[in-house]
Amino acid sequence: MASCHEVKEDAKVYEKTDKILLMGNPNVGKSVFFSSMTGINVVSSNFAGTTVSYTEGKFKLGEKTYTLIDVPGTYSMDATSEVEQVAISFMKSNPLAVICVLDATNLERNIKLGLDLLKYDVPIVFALNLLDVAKRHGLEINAALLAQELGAPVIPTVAVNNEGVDELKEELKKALTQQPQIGCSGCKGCPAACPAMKISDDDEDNWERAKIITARVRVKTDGKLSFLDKLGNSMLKPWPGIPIAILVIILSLGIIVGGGKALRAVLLLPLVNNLIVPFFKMLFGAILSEGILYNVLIGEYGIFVIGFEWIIALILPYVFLFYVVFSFLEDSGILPRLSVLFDNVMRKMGIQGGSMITILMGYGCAVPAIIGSRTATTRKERLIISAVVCFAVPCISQTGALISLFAGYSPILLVLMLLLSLVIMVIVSSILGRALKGKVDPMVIEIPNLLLPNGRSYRQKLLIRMKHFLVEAEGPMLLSIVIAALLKETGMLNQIAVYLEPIVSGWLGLPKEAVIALILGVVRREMAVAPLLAIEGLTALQAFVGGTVALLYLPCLSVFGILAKEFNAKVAVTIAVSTFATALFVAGIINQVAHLIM
Amino acid sequence: MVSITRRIRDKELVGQRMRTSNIANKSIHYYKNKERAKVKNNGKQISKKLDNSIYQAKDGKEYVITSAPEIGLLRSLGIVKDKSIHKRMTYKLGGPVLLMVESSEIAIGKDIAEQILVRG
Repeated sequence: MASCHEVKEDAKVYEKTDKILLMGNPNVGKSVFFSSMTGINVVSSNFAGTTVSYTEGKFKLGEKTYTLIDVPGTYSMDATSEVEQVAISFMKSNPLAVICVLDATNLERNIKLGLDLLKYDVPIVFALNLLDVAKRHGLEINAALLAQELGAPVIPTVAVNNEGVDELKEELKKALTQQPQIGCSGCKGCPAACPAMKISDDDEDNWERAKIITARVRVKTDGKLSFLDKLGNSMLKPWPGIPIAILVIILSLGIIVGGGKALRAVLLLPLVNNLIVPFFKMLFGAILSEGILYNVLIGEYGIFVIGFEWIIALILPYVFLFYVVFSFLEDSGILPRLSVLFDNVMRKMGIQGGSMITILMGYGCAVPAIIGSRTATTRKERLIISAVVCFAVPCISQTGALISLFAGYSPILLVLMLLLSLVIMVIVSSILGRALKGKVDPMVIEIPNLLLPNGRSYRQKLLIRMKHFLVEAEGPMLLSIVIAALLKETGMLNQIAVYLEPIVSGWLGLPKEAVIALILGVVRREMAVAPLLAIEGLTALQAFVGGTVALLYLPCLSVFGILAKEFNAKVAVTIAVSTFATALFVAGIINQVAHLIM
Repeated sequence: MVSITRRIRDKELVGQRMRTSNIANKSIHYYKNKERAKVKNNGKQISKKLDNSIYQAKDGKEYVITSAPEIGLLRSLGIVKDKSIHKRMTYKLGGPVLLMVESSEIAIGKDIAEQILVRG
């Protein structure tokens, strides 16, 4: 996942003549090497499938500059998913060299991929990574012997600690300048993957070969499982795994909701209300007289008023704390454990447990979740995941706005909203599971080791995500604030409100001012909530109905764009129309039923 | 047919090991999820014990894969014929099975796990 709202895919990259590929199984640390070598920070996580699209960056070796491509992880060179097809296309595009990252804890499978890559006749340098974890598991590997067996350099590395990266670069430099030595006569000690020996095209032969090499180079010793290894094992058992999982979820919500509220009340609200907004009011008050421009800038919906109130005081604390928590869950390896524990529940919803990780990503932002659904093996599963995310998973900005909206009422409203979101999720996935043609493959997932996140990678990830939020989400938010200010100050808002009154006030039971939420929600989902905060005298029912509309409302413009790109315009329009209709229908029903009961 | 007959091991009902060639012309109804296959021999139905599917195999034991479905990802993860694996557990209510292949833990959904046959 390169970023939040960015998918960089340019077919021209295949034509580049200076490219070096970073390849390997999923979750072996390729993205960590990429960041380390290029200085470009990319998001990496402790589960397979973090990189679903390639990332490219320049790096220098001696005097020359090369393009390093972080290729999505692949288990083999037989495309088993869209992501793996990308890896194969790169391998066929005449790269100068390949850095193949091997996972020392799963040597046989990784050597098998190495053998598959050796068939392409491209200089390869192997990075034997995760040696620290292998040692803990009682596995010692003779890297020199492995190099002899593979007929290519093998550098021991621990990428997260930057160990071995310089040596790897040095070997890569040599590999780029030297011709491969071919001339072995098949002597007795001939390496199992000697360049002179043609690597078999038969998959089973290569598995056998990988097995032989592994047996030759690996020695099992008495490993000592750490506390985290033992905890990781326990988390996979229903007892105590499920109680721990529930505790993790409650703790995460507590940190995000409670911490966000505290951060807002103690730091951000006083900062915005007592310092920033008064400063701009004073500044513009001194140079402008009252009028439309004055109001657009610092009026009720003024850009310099709600621009700070909504973005900094309302949304930012929740976004920040969500990424603090979610990045920890990603890097620690907890998420795949949750998906295994809840696979049976997910199957009943028509999807498999592995999809849970992708859906959880949607609580941050729907865009990476939809891109991340590429790891699904069937189109049907991808469609279900994407639809579920669009219908029932509020992004963190929207969640922050919803928390702020319900803060003035009972916390039960927030719980009810969460339950409503889960019910909609189950309904959408169940309907699509039955209605869509095709199948959803059962779960096949590798469980990563439970790790404490590496401080440097964790900080980098947080930094990247917050930077993307501030750069990419703030633009559209400011745009919607400008629209709000203009609509309000030109009187157009009142005119539109008259036209939409039967829906807004009649069917939904909301005050007519709430029409602004429906308009701005098209640009950003949280903007379907934020204007409700400015309406005085909103009842608990109106807040809940407004929140329901926002929860189920249209995907924002970025999500609409990515749906059209990843699927097609028809899918994007269908999802947009369905969510819009569902939002008005469900929220209206809640309002009407509540009025009948109360 | 041959691959299925190869999986058949003679047990208490017949009392002697059956060679695969002897039953090559018999129709076999292989029931997924069941340990037993019904074999029709000249109209007479007998019951044979098959290799376990990994889904039903006991937890906490080592097994050798005798047959695995042709799924690229499984093959890539090393779930191939003749591979030794350790079964850690089966999750209840239709959940996956958890296997150890080399040092890696792999969870496999019920529908696929039922098609992976093992002995040991």
